[in-house]
Amino acid sequence: MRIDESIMDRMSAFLDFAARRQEAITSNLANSETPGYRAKTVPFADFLASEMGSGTAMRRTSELHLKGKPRMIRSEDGADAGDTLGNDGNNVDLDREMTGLAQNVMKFSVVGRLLQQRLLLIRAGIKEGRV
Amino acid sequence: MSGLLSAMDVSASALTAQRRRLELLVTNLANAQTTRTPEGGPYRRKDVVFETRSFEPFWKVLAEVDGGGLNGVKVREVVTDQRPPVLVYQPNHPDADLQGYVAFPNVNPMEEMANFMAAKRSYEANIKALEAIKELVRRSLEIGR
Repeated sequence: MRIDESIMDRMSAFLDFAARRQEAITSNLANSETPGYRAKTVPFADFLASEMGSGTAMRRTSELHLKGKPRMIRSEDGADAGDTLGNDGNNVDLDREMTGLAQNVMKFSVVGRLLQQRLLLIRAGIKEGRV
Repeated sequence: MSGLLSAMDVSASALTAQRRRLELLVTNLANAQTTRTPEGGPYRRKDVVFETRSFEPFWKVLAEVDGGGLNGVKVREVVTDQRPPVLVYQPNHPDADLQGYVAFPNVNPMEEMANFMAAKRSYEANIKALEAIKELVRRSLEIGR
């Protein structure tokens, strides 16, 4: 059996991404009534781009350098930004955040389960099929 | 993982801030008819002003450029509503002025209740977020099983 590590790396990267998205949602919910706060998002496109190698990851010229990651959490001011409800400059849409929250937990669970199953397969291989 | 744990701090900060707001709203309702205060004059309604509060853990500052995402919330200040008191004609009231008018607090129960519900919903939303984080952590602990 050949252990394909890259697929597991992908899955763990996705879990990382979902955790990051969770942070953004938590932040938005906490600041749903803070004047001037702009909702934050973690676009999937950015995650995909960095996974496909076309992102703007920083290049290191020495192993001793600190690792830099592209900035994934961004303040939302694009076309899909939530409507500003009040006149306090806050654009957090509670319904949208709650939906995102539910989706995020589900996606995390699915990928987490996949990763778990993958590891169980490897374990089965190690134990020669005996569980 | 540490990111998720600091996200829990963010939710906790929001719970604290909203509870502070709820306390003030309750105080406003309780004093809707109070005509005497230590500062003199009728009670004036109070409200909170929220402000973002940075929650960047040190390891994140050190190890990654990524950040700026974790924003907690705190009560920056408690403001006193500057709307004038409501004058009601009650000549028999001990706090009536020479013309027989009593200055009652500028508290509108409807407004307080609406704010109360908003604060409560916000509190609940943050509890949901906290539960979601717990769920994510629990799921990630299951991976190695």
